[in-house]
Amino acid sequence: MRGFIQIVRRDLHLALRQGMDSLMVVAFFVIAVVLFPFGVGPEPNTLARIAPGVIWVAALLSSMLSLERLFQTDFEDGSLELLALQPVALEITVMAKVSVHWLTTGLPLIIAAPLLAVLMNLPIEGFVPLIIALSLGTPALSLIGAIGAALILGSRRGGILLSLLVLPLYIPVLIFGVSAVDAVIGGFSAKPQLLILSGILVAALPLCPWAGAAAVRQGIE
Amino acid sequence: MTRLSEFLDMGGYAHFIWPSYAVVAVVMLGLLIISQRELRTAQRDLDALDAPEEAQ
Amino acid sequence: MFHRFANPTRFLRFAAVVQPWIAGLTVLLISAGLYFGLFDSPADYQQGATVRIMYVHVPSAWMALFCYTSLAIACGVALIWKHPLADLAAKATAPIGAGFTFLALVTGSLWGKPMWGAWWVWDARLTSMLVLLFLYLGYMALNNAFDDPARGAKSSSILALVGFVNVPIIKFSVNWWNTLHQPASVVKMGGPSIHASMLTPLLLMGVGFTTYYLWVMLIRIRYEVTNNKIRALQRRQAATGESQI
Repeated sequence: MRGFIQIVRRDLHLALRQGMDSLMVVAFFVIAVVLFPFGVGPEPNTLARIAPGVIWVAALLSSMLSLERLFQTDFEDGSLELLALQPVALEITVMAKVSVHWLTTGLPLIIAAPLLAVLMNLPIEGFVPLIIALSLGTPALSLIGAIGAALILGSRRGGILLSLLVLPLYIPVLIFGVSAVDAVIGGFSAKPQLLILSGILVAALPLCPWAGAAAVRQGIE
Repeated sequence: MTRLSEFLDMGGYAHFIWPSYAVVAVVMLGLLIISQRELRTAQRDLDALDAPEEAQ
Repeated sequence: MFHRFANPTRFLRFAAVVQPWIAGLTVLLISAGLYFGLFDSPADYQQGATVRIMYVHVPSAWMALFCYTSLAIACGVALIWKHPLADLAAKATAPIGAGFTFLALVTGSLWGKPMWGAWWVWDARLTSMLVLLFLYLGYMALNNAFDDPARGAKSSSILALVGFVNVPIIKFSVNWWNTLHQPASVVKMGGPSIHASMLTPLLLMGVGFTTYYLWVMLIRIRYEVTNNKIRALQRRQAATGESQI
């Protein structure tokens, strides 16, 4: 556990030193959502109907922005190999990196989401489920994304390739995240959707670091 | 002659049935021919590399 | 049994012997399937002649899933037992599977137009097939994204396994999402009652497509083996070249 906290603290320092990073992610999130009214038109009812979907898709894309650099910087300066040689299991290191990624991108997205829900005229009862769904969904997105980030280490076209690999795997999280909010707006309880979302998260917690570590291990050989 | 045109007409759905068979034929035969051609060129390159002495 | 084929030369001999038989079988099966499908079976009482598209649409959809499963198995074997041929088999399977997925989508849409009145309908099966196509493209993109092919093979194998685990989850969530937003106008296209006369062409085409897959896979594996030999020779010549200078 000590090793985990050390890596998290180290990466957090690195991330916060260039604090701009999470600010930029939130800025992208806001801009992406604000574009939709220009495209679809300012008419409140249509905006309200597509609000959960738009917010979720934008959150998904923004959380993917900083995935590429999850291992890249350490891979290039060789510290990834050192991390792999540590007594702490590589899975723990991957888990630490994922939690730092969530803290620097997932959390800011959740904080910014209500503001965008107002912009998109989301009905007021949809706010709480949106926050709950996002707080269950964004960690799963970071976990699944970490596998993609590890897989593209050392490849030629990293960024674009990462999105092609990871987006199909994000679809279940997107579907249940959006339908959780839609259900509450439609007057139903969002319990089933939120349960499935937490199921995906709980499954992703052990499996993704394991697969990510395997990808990193064969990446640094 | 009517039997042929009647057959080709496919109960009025000719525009959907024949294109789907056509696209299946194009993709499957295309993949087969491309793979075989790639194999042939690879084998030729291999032979060229294997025996450059006789070739010169 | 598989370990006997670990070394490529023995596999090449086996492939050269078996390939003509598989090719002949494929041509035979598909022509029989086409004959029964187009000439010798009745039009469906409900869907009219469009049911004939089923004879290419359904086998393509079967093959799309069958190829992805064999891709995942080959990747598993490659990762666990470091079997050299399994990597090549996976790399050979991917384009064929992607081709079948594309065909399933196109023929599905061509069948959907007369049946549902729209080229593309977000029906659960068509949508899952679309996601499967992205999984294939991801695998192929990752496979050639590295300069060293062995590196590409290993990393895309992990992706194929992760993808394979996700296929049922995606299928489940797409079905769920589809029933939630069930557009009222779509006629739920239940499987047509498979009358015996329709079953024969369907099965013939299904088995024919499978032997076609084996045939093209053998060709592509032989291509990959030859390619590896060329790369090895070039490297050795480059090495000897340097030592002479």
